[in-house]
Amino acid sequence: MKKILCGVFIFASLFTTGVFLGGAAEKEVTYLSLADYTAAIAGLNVPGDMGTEDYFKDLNAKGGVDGVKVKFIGVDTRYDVARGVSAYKRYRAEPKLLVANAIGTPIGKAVAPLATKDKIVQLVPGDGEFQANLGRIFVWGPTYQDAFAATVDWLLADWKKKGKTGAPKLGFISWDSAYGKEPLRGGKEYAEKMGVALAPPEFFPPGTLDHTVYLSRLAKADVNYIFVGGVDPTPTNVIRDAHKLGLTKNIQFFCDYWGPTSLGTRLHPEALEGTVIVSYYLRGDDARKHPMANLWTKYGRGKLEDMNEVYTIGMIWAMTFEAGLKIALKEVGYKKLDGEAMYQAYQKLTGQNWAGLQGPCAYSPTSRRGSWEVKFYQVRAGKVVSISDWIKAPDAVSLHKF
Amino acid sequence: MREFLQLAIPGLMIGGLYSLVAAAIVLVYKSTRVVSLAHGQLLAFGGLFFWIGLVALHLPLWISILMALVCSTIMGWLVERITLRPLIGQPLISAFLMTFAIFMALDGVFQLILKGESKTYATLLALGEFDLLGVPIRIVQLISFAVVLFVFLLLALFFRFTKTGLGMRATAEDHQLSQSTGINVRTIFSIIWVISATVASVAGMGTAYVMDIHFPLPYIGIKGLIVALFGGLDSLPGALLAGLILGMLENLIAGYLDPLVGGGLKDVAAYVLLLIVLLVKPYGLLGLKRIERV
Repeated sequence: MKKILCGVFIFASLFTTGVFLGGAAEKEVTYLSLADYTAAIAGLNVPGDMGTEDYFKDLNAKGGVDGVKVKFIGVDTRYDVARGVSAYKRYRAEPKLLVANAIGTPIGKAVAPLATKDKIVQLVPGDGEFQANLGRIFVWGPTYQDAFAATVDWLLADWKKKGKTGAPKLGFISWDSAYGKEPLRGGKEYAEKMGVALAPPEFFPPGTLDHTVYLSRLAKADVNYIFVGGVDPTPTNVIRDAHKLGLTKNIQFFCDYWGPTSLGTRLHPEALEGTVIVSYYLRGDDARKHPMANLWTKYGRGKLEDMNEVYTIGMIWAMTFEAGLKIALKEVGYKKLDGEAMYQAYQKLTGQNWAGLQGPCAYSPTSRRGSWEVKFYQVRAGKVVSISDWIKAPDAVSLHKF
Repeated sequence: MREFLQLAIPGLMIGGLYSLVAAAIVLVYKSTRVVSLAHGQLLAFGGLFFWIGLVALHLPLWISILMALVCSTIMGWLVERITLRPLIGQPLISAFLMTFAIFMALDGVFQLILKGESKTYATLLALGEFDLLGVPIRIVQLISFAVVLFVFLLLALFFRFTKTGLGMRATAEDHQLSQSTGINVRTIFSIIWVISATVASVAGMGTAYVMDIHFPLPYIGIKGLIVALFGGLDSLPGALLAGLILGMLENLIAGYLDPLVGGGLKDVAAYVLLLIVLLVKPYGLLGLKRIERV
């Protein structure tokens, strides 16, 4: 009998301790990532979420934000809107869900009304629509149209530098999706305003294996420059096909910030040589030599030379979340912490610096841009090297009627 | 005219690869009456095995090809042995759904291996290009097209002149009758899966060489199925002809019609074609029209 009582006592003690310890560990908030880990934009999402997850692991290991730990949930949407919406609905009731990062413009647009209704902060890649119509949806960096406009400025300077006369002609090729068309919603108006002629844009379905037909048409339109959209490896593959057609000899190619990473350039270095990339985050060795890149090796992701630069964007998402959480906790405390508090906090992040991984944060009550600044990179001798300082991108969103 | 050729000739080259995938599907259908979706994955894994040999393990070219063919052969055999043989005697729809399940399961594995990245082969044959009627043709693509024709020739010879090939043709006609004449139908099924996996693997290597190993690669299998239906599910010449037509048609539609509607028609073309074929010629271009009397 004594043994049984002893056993019951020990069990009860362990249970009570467990409950108390569990209670102590319950101070937790949730970050939801609706990501594509296995389809068209996995090249961006896999390393991006690795960065977020590692940063949160590190943060939690250090005790979290004022004792509050962050739970990371990553769901594979396969770049499919239906899966994205379904995943959001599945996780919307998670305790203290504060931020949903909808990776992918079409998914971002579809989830937006739901997240707004739930009063949850939502992040989207570069959709200018959410800058035009201010709400709870925040953009990671400058919008797609801003980055496109910055490229227009760059090509005009290049045109002038080369001593050419007349107006340069710009071609545009990207995915036949909301993302693919977004840069032109404001970007087109900016190009026209700056006197750059735009050839009819070419759109192809994500996952297209051969881009010859579209590129041939742009070549026929006598363009001097081509802006290539799509998440890597798509732009790499487009330029690969352009190289096969001999177009890279006479046409300068640009990519948006999802263009070739240093890993992408390893695939077709000869084709990508000379390609200019407009980026709002560090690329190439700039990213790898950054002190924060050590999380990559710390969490066993492999050699630093194999780190995809998009990993650092994942860290920026997490750093933004951390900073927002800190403000929200200070203002309302853990008990009252909710999406609304986080929304108010995100608007107070103006000017915060994410360790120099991207330009200063531009979130404010009137801005949903993660930052304003871009940096130009170029593929040279198979490497992605910086060719400019941080430059403030023009506001192309305001030129379009959304 | 030059523009037409610029669109049509590269289309023909790609169409050759579609034909090869379709041939693999036709082979299985001819003998087993099973319409296979699994061949998209056999194609993708063929390309992947070749990449593993050539790039990851740095093996010589011919050993890498051999390795890819052997691995694909084993994979085809395993697919038949583990998943489809137990379904012999069951409704054909079960086997069809099984191939769909195989496709989805292997797709998960394939995407996990790729992790969203792309794999590419080093330039194996830097042979340059030549001009055909004003259209620059890359010699590598031409070699790839020649390989397609060679594989079709081998298959034709195999079915016409070998005992196993004749056995397969007999099996295609009637399983029970073939069994009663001493043909081991189960063995025939195994062999046909092995051969079709090898053909899909060749298509995979050819496609991946031109277009890299990327997440949509297995979905070329769906194009292959459309081509097989278009050409006639039991006709190898039909598969060849239909593949060439589809490849060419896709490029022509993208070239001439895309600008009118703002893009996106290239992928739709195959499905529209399938719709028309199913309505007008349900047995396909060269498919055998079977008349069943009650």
